[in-house]
Order: sequence, then C-alpha cells, then structure tokens
Amino acid sequence: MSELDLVDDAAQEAAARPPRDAFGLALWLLNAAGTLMIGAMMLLIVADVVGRSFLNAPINGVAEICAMAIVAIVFLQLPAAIHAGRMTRADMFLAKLQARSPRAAEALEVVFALLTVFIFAVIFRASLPYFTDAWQQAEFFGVQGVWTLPTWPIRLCILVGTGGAALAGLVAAARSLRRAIAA
Amino acid sequence: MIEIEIGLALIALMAGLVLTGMPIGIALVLLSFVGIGLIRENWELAGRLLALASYAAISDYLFATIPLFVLMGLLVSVSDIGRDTFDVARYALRNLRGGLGMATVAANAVFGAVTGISIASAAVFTKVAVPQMMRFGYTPKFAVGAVAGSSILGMLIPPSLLMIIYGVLAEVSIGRLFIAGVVPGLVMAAAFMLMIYCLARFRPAYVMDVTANPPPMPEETAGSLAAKSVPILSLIALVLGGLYTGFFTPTEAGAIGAFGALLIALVRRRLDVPRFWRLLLETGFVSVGILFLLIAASMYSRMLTMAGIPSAIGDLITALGLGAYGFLLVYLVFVILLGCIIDSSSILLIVTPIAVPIATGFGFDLIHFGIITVIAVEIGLLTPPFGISAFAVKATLNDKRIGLETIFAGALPFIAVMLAVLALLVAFPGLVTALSGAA
Repeated sequence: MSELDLVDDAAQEAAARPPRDAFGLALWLLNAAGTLMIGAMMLLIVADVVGRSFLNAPINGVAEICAMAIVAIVFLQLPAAIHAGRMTRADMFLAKLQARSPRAAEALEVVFALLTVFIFAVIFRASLPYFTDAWQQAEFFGVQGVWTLPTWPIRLCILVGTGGAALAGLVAAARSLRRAIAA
Repeated sequence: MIEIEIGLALIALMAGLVLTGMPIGIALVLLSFVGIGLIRENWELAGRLLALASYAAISDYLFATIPLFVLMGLLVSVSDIGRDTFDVARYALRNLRGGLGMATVAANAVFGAVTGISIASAAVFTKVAVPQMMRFGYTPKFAVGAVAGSSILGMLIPPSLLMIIYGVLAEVSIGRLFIAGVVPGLVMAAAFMLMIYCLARFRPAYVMDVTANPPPMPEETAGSLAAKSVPILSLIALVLGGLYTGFFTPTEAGAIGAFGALLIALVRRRLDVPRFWRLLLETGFVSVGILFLLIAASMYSRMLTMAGIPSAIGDLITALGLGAYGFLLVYLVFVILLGCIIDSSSILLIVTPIAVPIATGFGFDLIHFGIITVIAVEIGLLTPPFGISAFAVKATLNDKRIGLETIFAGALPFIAVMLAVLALLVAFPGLVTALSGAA
C-alpha cells in the first residue's frame, strides 16, 4: 500500500539512497528530478504570493508553469514508483495466496506486470506523435510577446515516463517469473 | 444497449482484477482502453484517448495542491507539532475523567487543520498519545481505538486529500469543499468527545483500569502553552484564513502551508538535509500514486460515459422508485462496504464518476454530497479487513501484544459515532453549507 509505506522508516531510508544497478540508478535519477521539481514548485508559488502581496511584483505564468510541471513530475516519478512496487493496490488476496501457494502468487504477479507493460507501451506509442509535433512545429505555451516556453520537454517527460514504466514492468515480470520458477 | 453490456462486463472484470491484487490505476487504464476500443471498434482512437488523458487530465494548476499538501502533512509530522498540540489539549481537559482520550480527539482535530492525510495523524498520535494513555491505566483497546478513530479527522477537517480528489472528479470548487468541511469536522470531533465522556462516566471499565493512579496534573505555564500552540495556530490561520478570505487559491494555500511547516521544522531543528530529502522523496511517492490514479480515473470516467453507465444506473434507480434518499442510502452502504476492501482514494475514483451525475439528477448540492461521501469513505479507514488507519497505528506502535483485531475493535464506537454524524449531516444540509454558502 502506497499510503502505508509512509510510516516505514526502513523503506524510506532505502529509497533515499541511489541504487547500485544501472537501471535502478536511472529510475532513481528521474525520480530525484521530479522530487526536486516539487520543492521548486513550492518555492515558485511562495515567491509569487510574496511578490504579488508585498512587493507589487507578481511572477508571470506561475499557474501555467505549475500545470505543466505537475505532468512532468508525475511521469518522471512513475517508473520509480512501479519499480519500487509503490502503486496503490489491494493485496489481501495476494498475501493469502502467497501463504498457500507462492508459485501461484508469483505467476499472478507476472500477469499483472505484463499488463502494466502493455498499457504503458500503448500510451507511449500514442504519445509519440504529440512529441514529434511539438518538436517540429516548436509549439509553445504562455502569452505571446510576454513569456513563452516550449511544450516539447513536457511531451518528452511523458515519453520517458511511460517508456520507463513499461521497462520497470518488464523487470518486475522477469523478477516474479524467476521467483515462480524457483518456488 | 450493447455499450452498456460491455461497460457492465468491464466493471465486473475490473472488480475481479482489483480484488486479486492488480494495481488499481493499471486496472482502470487497461479496462478504459479495452472498453473504448470495443465500444467504438477503433483501437487507434482508444490509444489516442489514453495519450490525451495522460496529459490533459492532470495538466492543471489545481493538481499541484496534491504534492504540496502531502509535503505539508509530512513536514508537520516531523516537527513535534502533534506532541505540542496534545500537551495543550491535555492541559485544557485535565479535570475530566477520560481527559486523555478527549485530548487525543481534540489534538487530532487541531492537527487535522494542518494535515490532509489521516495516516499522518494516525502515525503521529500513536507515538504521542498511546504511550501516555497506557501509562495512566487506559485499556490498550481504548487507547489504540481512540487514536485510529480520531485520525479520520485529518481528512475531514481541511485541508483534505479526499476532498481534493472528490473536487477534481465532481468538478466542484476545492476551496469551497474545504470551507464546507470545517463545521462537519468540528461536529464530528465534538461527537467523539461526547462519546468518550459518556463511556468514561457510565462504562469506566471500558476506558480504563479505575484503580490506576489518575494522571498527574500536567505542568504548564502560560509561556509554555503559548510556545506550544502559537506555531500550529499561525499555520492554521494562514492556510484556512487565506482560503476563507479568498486571498489564496487552494494551490497557493498548499505552497504557503508547506513552506510554513518547513520553517517551523527548521527553527525547531527537526530537519537536516538528508531527512528533508527523504521527506521530499516520500512526498513524491505518495503524490505520484494519487496523481496516476487521477489520470486513470479520468480515462475510466470517459469510458463509463461512452458506455452510458451513469444514465443507465440513474434510470434503474428511478425505475425502482428509490427516490433521492433511497439512492443516497444504497450509495452510502455501497461506499462503506467498498471501504472494507479497497483504500479511500480508489473508492472515490471508482464511485464518484458514476454517482455524481445521478446525484445531480436528484438535485443534491454537490458540496453537500461530497462531504457525505468523504465521511462514508473514511469509515472504510477503520473497517476490517482493510482499514488503513488501523494498519498505520499497528505499524507505528510496533508492539506485538496489541494486534490488529484490538485496534479494529477499539475503533468500533468511533464508527458508530461516524454513522450517527453522517445521518445528522444528511438530515441537516445546513451544517455543511453554513460557511460555504449554498450552490
């Protein structure tokens, strides 16, 4: 349960350190980038409120930037969340099955992981044209002449996130398959 | 008609997948894809709609509230604010029998105004209040039940993660939902305290070992009380005051609240760089879970609309002649039963897209309907076999002598009070709309 892990110090400790393997490290770095963006977003909004209220100097486009940033944050962190098994799920049945037949439980995990791979592969493929369009046509958001930012980095984050999520699903499937055979 | 059959078959399939342990977000996305593909007989389109939703569903300033309030909740949890609030409440209620139990509720109510996640409240007060109560002769069952039960105030008294999720799904103002939650939250806290008072008075053996020494008078001075209450009160004034006056948007309130909590934690030297990094990472994990569920839910509700499920269920209810309150009763029972099996945010994601159009049809005020929904969902935090708040108490307590059954049993009186307050709020919508104004 993702909510429950909140109280698990050991899991938090482990998540805070970069892992040794290359794939884990790559996902950890993406996750760290998303994490830093949360902090940056907080500071940006506070700066806007303070600037607007006391210095008569609001920051342009904070709302739009946050709207984009939140998409980036989700997709940068999604692969790590899947890799760490932090997706919200009801695992009562699995826990019972695990106790009775570990092999059946792991086999079920393989099925779930492969379905995860499938849906993220679908979203990745369907998101690809959005990225190429944004890149080729230099799409932007903002107010023309005041401030503009390109949209392709956000589209790229979606690609990286869904691609990474599909790979994390594959890794999880392989892991469960090995356990199912060993069980 | 065939669309509806596809839709219903998929809902049944989804229930099966979720119950066997498939991650809920993945199950929702998968079935939306299959559903749209089958209904429109166009798999290209189904994929494109998924891609569209992954961007459009959360690309809004509003969604920044989620990580910000999660961060705020985690920051206040590490800065001893919970302990201080408990000390102050204990002092205020020192002369009453069962005072420690009531202090737990009161402190939870105040703490609920700076945190939007019940699990944070449960974890904090398990550390702060349970040892105190047990030391002064309170029964373990009552002590853990009181902490688990009153932790639900964390998500009823604004800010509240559940209200944010409901507000997004039902397309109602989150600021207004927050304000609407204040009175029901206070009513709930008062009802909890009244229940504890009555138990301590008429069934003292349930609450404590009556032969044990009464707790000594807490030693507090005006200065120490002020030092303990000023930080949390200023945080509440800042966040709720800013929202109520309309000075802040909910997102800004989240950012300011998180920043304020960060300052308090820094001033109190409760935070170093590694610890802050851990909290930020945890914030990310918790919020990505919720945000991905929201993406999934937007796809799922699009699929439901295409299949015509909400209007079909609405027609069915009309045909059954249930009427508005009959519908509400069936709905609430269903939500509470779901709460025994799946977690709170997932219930909202699965149920709200179906229920809100029907509730609108019956003429319910969606703010009122939202607060009722949130309370019904929160009962699920305390009901076995799957009750997150009880799990959190158990995990934080880490005491083998106190099992999950004890915690669930101890929370029972609180569930009874929640049902009573739920009925009260259904009967008197004015309690909800008093501050937020009618729609």
